[in-house]
Amino acid sequence: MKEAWEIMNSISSDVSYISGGTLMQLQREQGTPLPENLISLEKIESLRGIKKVVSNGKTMLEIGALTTLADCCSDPLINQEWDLLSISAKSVASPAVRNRGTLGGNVSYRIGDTIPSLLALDAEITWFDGTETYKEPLYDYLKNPPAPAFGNTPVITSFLLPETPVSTKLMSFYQKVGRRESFIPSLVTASAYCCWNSYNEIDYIRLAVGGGANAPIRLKRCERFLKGKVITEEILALVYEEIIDEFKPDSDMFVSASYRKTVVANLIVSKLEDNLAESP
Amino acid sequence: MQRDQLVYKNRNRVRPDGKAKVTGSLKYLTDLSFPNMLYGKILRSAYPHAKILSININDAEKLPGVKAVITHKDIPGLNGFGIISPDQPVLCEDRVRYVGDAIAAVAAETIEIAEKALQLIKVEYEQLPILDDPEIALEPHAPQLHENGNLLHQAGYQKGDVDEGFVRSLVVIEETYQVPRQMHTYMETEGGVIVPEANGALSVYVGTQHGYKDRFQLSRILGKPEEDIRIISSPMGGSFGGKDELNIQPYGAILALKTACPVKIHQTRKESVISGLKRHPMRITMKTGVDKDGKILAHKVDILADTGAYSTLGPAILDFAVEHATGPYMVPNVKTEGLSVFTNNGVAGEFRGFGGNQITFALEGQIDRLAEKLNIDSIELRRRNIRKVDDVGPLGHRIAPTNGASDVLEAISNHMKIKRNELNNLNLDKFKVRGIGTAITMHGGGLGQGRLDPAGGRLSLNKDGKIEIAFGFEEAGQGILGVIETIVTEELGCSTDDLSIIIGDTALVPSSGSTTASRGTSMVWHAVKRMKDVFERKLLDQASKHTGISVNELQLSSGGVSKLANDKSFSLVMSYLELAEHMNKSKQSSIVTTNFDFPTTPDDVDGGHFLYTFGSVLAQVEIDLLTGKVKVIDLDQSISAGPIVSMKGYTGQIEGGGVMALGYTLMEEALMVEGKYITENLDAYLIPSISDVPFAMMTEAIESLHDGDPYGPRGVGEIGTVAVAPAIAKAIHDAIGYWVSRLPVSSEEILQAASHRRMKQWAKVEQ
Amino acid sequence: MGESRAVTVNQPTEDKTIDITVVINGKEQHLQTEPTKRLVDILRNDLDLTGTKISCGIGRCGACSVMINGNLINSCLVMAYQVDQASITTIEGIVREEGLDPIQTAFLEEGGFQCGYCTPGMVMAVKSLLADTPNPTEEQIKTALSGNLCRCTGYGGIIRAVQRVIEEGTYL
Ligand SMILES: Cc1cc2nc3c(=O)[nH]c(=O)nc-3n(C[C@H](O)[C@H](O)[C@H](O)COP(=O)(O)OP(=O)(O)OC[C@H]3O[C@@H](n4cnc5c(N)ncnc54)[C@H](O)[C@@H]3O)c2cc1C
Ligand code: FES
Ligand code: FES
Repeated sequence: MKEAWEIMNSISSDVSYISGGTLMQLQREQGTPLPENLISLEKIESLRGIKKVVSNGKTMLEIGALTTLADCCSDPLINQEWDLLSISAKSVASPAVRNRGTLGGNVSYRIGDTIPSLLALDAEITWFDGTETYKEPLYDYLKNPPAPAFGNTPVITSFLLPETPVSTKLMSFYQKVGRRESFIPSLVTASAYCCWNSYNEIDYIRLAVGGGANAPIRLKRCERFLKGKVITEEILALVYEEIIDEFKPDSDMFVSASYRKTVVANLIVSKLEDNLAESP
Repeated sequence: MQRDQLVYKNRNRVRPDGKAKVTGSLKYLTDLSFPNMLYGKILRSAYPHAKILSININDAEKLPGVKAVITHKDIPGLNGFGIISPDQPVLCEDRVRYVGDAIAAVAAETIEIAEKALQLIKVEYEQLPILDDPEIALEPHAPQLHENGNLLHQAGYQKGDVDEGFVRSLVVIEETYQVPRQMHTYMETEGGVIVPEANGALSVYVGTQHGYKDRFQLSRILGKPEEDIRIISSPMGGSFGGKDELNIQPYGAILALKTACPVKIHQTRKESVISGLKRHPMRITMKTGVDKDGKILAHKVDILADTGAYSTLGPAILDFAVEHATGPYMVPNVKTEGLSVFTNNGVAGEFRGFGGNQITFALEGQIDRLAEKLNIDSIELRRRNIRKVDDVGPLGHRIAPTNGASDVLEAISNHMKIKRNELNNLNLDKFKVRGIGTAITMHGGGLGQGRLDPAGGRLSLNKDGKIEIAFGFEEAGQGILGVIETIVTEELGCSTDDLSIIIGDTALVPSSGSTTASRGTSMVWHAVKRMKDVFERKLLDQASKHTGISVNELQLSSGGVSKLANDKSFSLVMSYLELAEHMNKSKQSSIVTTNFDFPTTPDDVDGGHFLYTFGSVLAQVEIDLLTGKVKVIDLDQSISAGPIVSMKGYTGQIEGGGVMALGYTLMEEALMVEGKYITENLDAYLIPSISDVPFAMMTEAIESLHDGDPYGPRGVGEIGTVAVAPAIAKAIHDAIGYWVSRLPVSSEEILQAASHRRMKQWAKVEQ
Repeated sequence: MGESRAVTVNQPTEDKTIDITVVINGKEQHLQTEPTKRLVDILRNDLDLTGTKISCGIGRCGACSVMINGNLINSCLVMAYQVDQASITTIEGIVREEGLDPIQTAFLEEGGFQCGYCTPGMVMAVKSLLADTPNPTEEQIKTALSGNLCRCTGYGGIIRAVQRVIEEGTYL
């Protein structure tokens, strides 16, 4: 790790980290030349591996940044408790690309399709800036990316997934919509994690959306709106409007912003609808 | 109807090129390399429409490793190509008309150096207004792209009086249909190696669908006699019409001649997207009137085709669309007008279906809309208008008698009943709805009346004792090798081991015309039929002379000539090798050749076809009401194209064609904005993946032909692509009550349509 | 940090090359190459292993699929330095001593190809699937082959070929 950082520092310009290299190779073919110097993180073993760790008395799943997307799909721990991540990883590219593409690379991409699931799972990210390793919620990291220290981007080292809240009634989902059934850049991504208390009120909720060139975000206003609410037809209609209002994606050559809003609202509200409180 | 016709026993065989393909040992022409080989790269225009003020290649030439840089000045002969009229410059001199226009080309020691050299070529342009839509190009003050203006071709057909027909109609539907620019997306992009030979001759190892035509075009460009040019054009990693026109051959050839080294050019996908042909985008307006019983009284059609910057086969494709505007229906009053217009968009040209796909989407859309209005079952409405065995063709010309149209309609009607029943008993997720639709079509084979459509072949016993059959066709994956093998072995009675098939090399084969228009299978069958008797006679005569057995008792068989015993068993009397040696010694030639034309209508109707195939499609779709996405659940086809020569080939063509058309309907569009491609590679230009297709598709072959039909098997290369889009469109309507008229179907449009129908209670209806 | 190390890779600005050792189809090879050269170019141009095809160059078609250390990989997305010490299997390494791999036979018999350009990559993908999952479900087949595009067959023949191998149980 240190070594990577030192190399990074020793080369002053035109340098970049590279993990699986899938994205960089894609961009190279599309006309962005590779930087003159690449620092491969691939052989840094400490950036690999999936294991449970205890941090501040809380059990968390630690996933090294170099973990391939294929491993995110197949890992039994992830599949058991954090399956939103494996579902989202499965939606990225193809098996062959997933065999090389890494989770760290996907998050560095900023529009990576795993990000909404990581946000819904309340993931934390750790990164190394040459001297110290930092840890913060992924949400904060994405909102305010760390300033490059000495002109260099910090290395993402791992992701930490807290144990997911348990409750007798919960809903979680991840869905990606593209122009084809599989092996396709996203138009829209949406993910949610939601728990109800014994009064049938939502007491925990994460809603994250993205897609296309739109950096994934959490719908915090909608989350606040829903917290403490019992789901009724009326609430569904309101939250539908709220989502459309809060999510402000861009249009592109293939779909309009309005399509993205509508689909995100449809996906989330339809899942909530499955959890309508039975009418008294 | 004759039910027990010709059946090929060996139609289930494994094709001869199979093993090399599954093991990866087959050398495609882009896999070849030669000693001292250089790599070529082509500089394409930076703008869709511009004047070229200057071209400076000095820096590029000086780059170490660069062996030659060529511009228009280096063209020895005609600076132009095009199958019909050579209006596309090989290398532009003073003007560019689309982003694929070539300005210079480089040969260098490595690809990287060649790429670098391209960057060093300085071209000064003066941009000109971009005509990115045929309607704009037809405006009176639009800049003229060619000497004769922006209208490449105008075609029409008229019969009866449509106005009067509409007056008498009970229901009239008018709709405009828009179809996209589809890319062939052959997996092997254009390329190959051009090798200079002794005495200025040239061997061109580059895939094409018509080696002799390439030779002719290259000879014109290079100012070299055709005999000096050898075209090796097979195998190809797909073509679908897209490699019929010249692509990289002229650049490779000029570079090879200039450097005296073999030159390899293999376009990257992006280069292929930019320079390659596409299917014609069309805007088709149809107005169709019916009486109360659903009899079509009048049909008025206007076609506007965007042919891009140059002609290639644009005129012929428009003619084909005009011909097929009434499809398999008998309509008393017809008026069809078509315009094919030059623009600064990508060049549109030959593509599987040849204009039939576009027009069929519109025509079948009309029939379905009329059926809805009349409240008649859409299959029944078709039944009421469909052509009968002896009816004339769509241009009023005589065609080979056929009941194909009704056959495929009734087949799909029966299939529909089963599928409808299954669907009625299905429980679906509450946010999914399904629908089923059908469509039919009629598709002409061959190039049509008035178009040179010669074919030929050669049969001989070569000195190695192999029965050698030679055709000028190319193998692009369609399975022509398997077809030749089956037809020859079964017609002659020899075995595959006795056979040597030669195709795709102008040095070795006779001209057979182009490997296009679903004509290959048909042509092979005709050629073998014509040559068979003479050839057999020649061989048996000689065998008889040698063995003293009477000709009547001899026959060709596996391994050699056999004697037929009274008990119908036969025994080999002379191997083919012995026979070959004998014939060689006695200087007897075994060569039989044939030249003939593809059968056309006896009537003098330009472009009219004579042999047609028929197809019907059933599509079942599932629509996701939350996303507007359409997924095809079933894609089943019934085809009437005569006897099957190769089972796997037949099914493969229909399934593969069907899926290609599924892509056309739901996702494929080579998007251009102001003359530039937005979809530059396979991440944005989408073709169906395995997850987009039904896991099982049905292909039903109706093999019987009309009584006494002497024309044998018809080709099935195109028919499977033609009627898919309208079947899917009808299925979508069946599911959500909305008619799509624009392809590819937009999820956004579907989602909106579904919302308008208040299919979700919590969503406010968007205005 | 034990074996762990960061590796700098320099672009061939001054014709820098590196030496790598790879096992290709069971044979160890030492290659001198630019570190960022694509594996697909090494295979096709330097080693004349042209069974591996190229079509998109961006990981979007699967024509260039090979196995690296037993994993299916797009050889157009991998650079020379990344395969140092790796074991690579290409389509040329699939044929068994006894003859064709059962997957190849099934492709032949079921019409799993037409032009054949996608076929080597497709065979590699099927091989990778069946090695892990000898009896896959429809969903698993679709997932496994989702990165391999075929323009000719419409996938019908390919699906039938895979089903045939499964039925014959040769990979069980
Ligand atoms: C064919 C194809 C299809 C794809 N489809 C999808 C898709 O559907 N969804 C999707 O989200 N993505 C997709 N991608 C994009 C991308 O390849 C993946 O997101 C992948 O996870 C990137 O990982 P990598 O290790 O290959 O990244 P690399 O290419 O190695 O790196 C990508 C970027 O991240 C930086 N980086 C990498 N690791 C670190 C680290 N640990 N710390 C700091 N910076 C780092 C690099 O400097 C570089 O800028 C696709 C790519 C291809 C080629
Ligand atoms: S060429 Fe590598 S995936 Fe297409
Ligand atoms: S067989 Fe041609 S692309 Fe698959």
